[in-house]
Amino acid sequence: MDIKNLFENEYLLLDGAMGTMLQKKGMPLGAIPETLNVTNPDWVIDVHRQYIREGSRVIYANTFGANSLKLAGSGYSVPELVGAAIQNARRAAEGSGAFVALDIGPIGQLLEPTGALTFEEAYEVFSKTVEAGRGADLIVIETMTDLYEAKAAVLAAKEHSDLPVFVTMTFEENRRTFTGCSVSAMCLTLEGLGVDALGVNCSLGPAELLPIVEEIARWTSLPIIVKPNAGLPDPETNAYNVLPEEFAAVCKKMLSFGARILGGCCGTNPSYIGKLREMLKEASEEGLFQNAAPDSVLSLCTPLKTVRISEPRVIGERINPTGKKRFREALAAEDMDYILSQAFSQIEAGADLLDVNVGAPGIDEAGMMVKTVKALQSVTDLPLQIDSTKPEVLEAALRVYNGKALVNSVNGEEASLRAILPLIKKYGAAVVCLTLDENGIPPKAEERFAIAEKIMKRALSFGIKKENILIDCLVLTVSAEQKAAMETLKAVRMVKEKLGLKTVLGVSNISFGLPNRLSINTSFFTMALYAGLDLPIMNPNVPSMMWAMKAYKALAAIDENSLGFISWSRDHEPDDVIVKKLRAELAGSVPKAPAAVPAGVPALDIRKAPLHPAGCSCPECAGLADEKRVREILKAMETGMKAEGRRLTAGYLKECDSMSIINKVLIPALDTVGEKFEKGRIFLPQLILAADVAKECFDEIKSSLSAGGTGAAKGKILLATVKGDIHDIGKNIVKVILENYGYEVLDLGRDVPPDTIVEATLREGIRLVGLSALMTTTLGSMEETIRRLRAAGADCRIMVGGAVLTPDYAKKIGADFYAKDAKQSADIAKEVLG
Amino acid sequence: MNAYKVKLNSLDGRDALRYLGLKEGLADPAMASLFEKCKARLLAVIDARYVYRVFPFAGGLLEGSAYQPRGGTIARHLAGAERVILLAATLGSGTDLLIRRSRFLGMTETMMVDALASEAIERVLDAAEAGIFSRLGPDPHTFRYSPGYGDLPLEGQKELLEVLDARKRIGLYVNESMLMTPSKSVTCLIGTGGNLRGEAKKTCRDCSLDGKCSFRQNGGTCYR
Repeated sequence: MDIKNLFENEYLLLDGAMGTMLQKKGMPLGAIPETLNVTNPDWVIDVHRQYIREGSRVIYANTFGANSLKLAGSGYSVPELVGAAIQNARRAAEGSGAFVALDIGPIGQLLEPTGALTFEEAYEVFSKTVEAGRGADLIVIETMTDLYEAKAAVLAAKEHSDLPVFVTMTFEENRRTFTGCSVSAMCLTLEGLGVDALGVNCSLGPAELLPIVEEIARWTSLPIIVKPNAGLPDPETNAYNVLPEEFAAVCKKMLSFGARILGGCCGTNPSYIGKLREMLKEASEEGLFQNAAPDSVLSLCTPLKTVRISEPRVIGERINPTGKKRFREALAAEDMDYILSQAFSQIEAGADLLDVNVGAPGIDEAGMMVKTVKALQSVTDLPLQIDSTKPEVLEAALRVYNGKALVNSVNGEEASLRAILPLIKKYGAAVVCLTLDENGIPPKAEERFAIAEKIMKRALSFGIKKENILIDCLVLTVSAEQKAAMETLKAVRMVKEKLGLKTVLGVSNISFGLPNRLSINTSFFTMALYAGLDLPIMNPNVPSMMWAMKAYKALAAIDENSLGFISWSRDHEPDDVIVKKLRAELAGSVPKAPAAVPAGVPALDIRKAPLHPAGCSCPECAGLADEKRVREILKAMETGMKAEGRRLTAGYLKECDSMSIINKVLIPALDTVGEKFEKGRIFLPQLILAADVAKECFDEIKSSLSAGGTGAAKGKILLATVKGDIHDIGKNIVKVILENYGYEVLDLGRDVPPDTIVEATLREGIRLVGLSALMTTTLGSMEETIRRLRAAGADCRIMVGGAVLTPDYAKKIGADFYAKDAKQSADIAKEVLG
Repeated sequence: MNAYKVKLNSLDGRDALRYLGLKEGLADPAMASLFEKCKARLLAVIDARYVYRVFPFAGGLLEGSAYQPRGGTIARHLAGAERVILLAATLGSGTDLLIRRSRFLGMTETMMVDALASEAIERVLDAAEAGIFSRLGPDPHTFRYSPGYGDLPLEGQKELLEVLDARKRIGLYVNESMLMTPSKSVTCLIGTGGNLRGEAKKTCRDCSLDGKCSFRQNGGTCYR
């Protein structure tokens, strides 16, 4: 009998705890339970038989921790223990018709971005266990707290076997796992990946799990698995507090939510399973059998955040190199900080989703996409729209994406449909479909609608759910084709009304070639929203566009009582004020508050001012102008006014060249701040506050250089936190300061192996290497790194820093410099690189 | 052995300011408001939990524990104790995410959040200690002594966490370099009962930086 038929129309009874049963039989504390498959097979078989006797239709083989990392050093291999475990389960099941599950638990090490184990490594570990366990009838992945790890396991299971896959994760009472994964994210992601059933096991008793099961039912149409603990352990005796009768009675309440596959976890034994069997028999007779009826509105997610597209939402378009030289340079230099800063400015501005496009000439797009997706999901929780024309890039991104993503895009061309739709299905994404085909973009709304309908049918035939299909009716430039705007909107309305699909538009394309683009954009945007646009792809940093969105939601009664509009008004300047300011600034008449003289800066001596005409460029006048600039910048730095720093710098760039701004304004200002820090007149936070402002000033200069095309860096410095250490705040502070002094910093990140540092130093011809370590336990790897750098003959000086280092120790491990703080690292850089 | 949650509703920020070297507080109103903003952000993401086990202590050994503390300073600290409590606490992974994320708002924010989180874990430990002794009875006890302090080796961290089943109970991991994740986490030992001789109040005596640290040079200590 096929196991899938078994839970299609009836309840399926699993087994209970294995570990505690083996302990009762005499398994010593601290032993690896999986080794008992070989040393004491009779014990394992007996436990299985007890559960089968009580009615278990599926027994979990004793393979929970049988992965290559946990078994390293145990003297056993994965195939050996998994093979024996399945054999034991088979023997126990003989003649009973019970099914045998390969049981896969967490690896026991944390995955990136929090831990060091990469997604790809986790996938390899799970693949080995799956390959060893192909003799089972199904695969159960359980007790997962990290959605990323669960995804690696599911991909391994599905790519290395044809067996059905069950997944259960472990939640706390706040309905989150330890890593913060929500119930909705689990359901959206795992159902998307094509698992056969999902649910929850361990950590809580049935009563505490009840609300979690209820929530699961709102997010999935799959059969729901529940394997509770026997209540909560008593703090003193460690005994569980729920008895079999009560256990079964509470589980019965879960049936009405769609719980269909039941068993027990920690603290349960065969009598719990026996009571569950009786309860399920009763429930079948009472006709309680229930299918879940989940939400059918499109939702996209990361583990921490689920964005339900129940109203218009903003896709931020700024992570895209098209037409942006500075962005292309960042891609070429793999400057992830710059890319992430683009993400953060959009998040602060109110984006709901982020578009990610890293396609540019000379870039390994797939590699860069993986790197960017991983970097983004390490710090942001907004769902991503993966944007590329290349199927291999989309697949690489979908693989490492943690959650349910949106893909941009597929179109009506046969080749596109064939290449992209299977990826959407396999990875459980949603997809934006462009209404164009082999013949290009049709002019008429009806023709675009026809393409939309065709793509929809094809997507459905691939098994993609209807809510995961979105249509982009394509915005053309109105200056080139004036009638196209209304055709696009008409098509949007048709798609919305006749197909019932969500719609997407890249709204800012509309105004190319026209003056006052903002006015065209905001008007068109509002028209599009009214026509049924759900997901505008736009720049959320443009205030009037966000205001248009907020206004539309208030007018369309989406924003109940206009509360959203009112709260937005509290935090944002109204449109007309912003425009007035911009105009005033452009006209050069922006009223400035009189600058208070910061403490410790000599006031400008008016008597020294030479009697020269305004705009004079003699050295004396230039010197005075620089002095004034230093004072202005210093004020911005000391008060932490980043925007002001940027504005001032932009002004200076119109008056003088970038190198003289750096050398005559920014660095003297930083030196003043640094001096105060050294004298103990200000403290680290204020130094850093100043550095943050200086960073903005440098960014302004950098983007003007990108536009002009000349580099300004004084020399390249490599920074890394050594292998084994994950503390990087200190290193990041040093980085900001060094960049402020005009050095280019190659930041290798944290937990960096010696070889990577040596390789990068040689490849880039680095002359100054900075190494950081915070722990006594990682000083060894700092020493090792220095030894390897010397052995490789790297022509570089090495500075080291970190809480536990001393000048003596730095000398002992062969470093050239000990930097006690970030300011000193800049002094060292000056000495080495000038 | 069970896992407990701790809810922090506020932080006074005094320790954080001290860690930041600002013993006179934040004079600048902009900095002060940033500090308050960081505090609110942090309190919103803290998901603090702790787990502990009480072991009978005799002849320098914890009975029935796979973890045994080694070294002279801890022996002196626990001398005379009848029981020893192993305790692990964490602020949870949300705090790490916030610290990582703060970097893109500015290093000032990062430092503030980091320092506030260090203060927060101390408050969580205070609450844990209070909770434990309300359950055990108000026996006199030593201050919390952590691996890495004095000559108590950091290398025992792995066994200590295994004894507490900390990965499963509170989501606390340790890597090969004995670094814990989530990073704002603490393990410690507390002696209680019997003829206790270890200090109840923290001192600088066993610290490797005794007298040399910037706190002491400025006339203070790193602890309250």
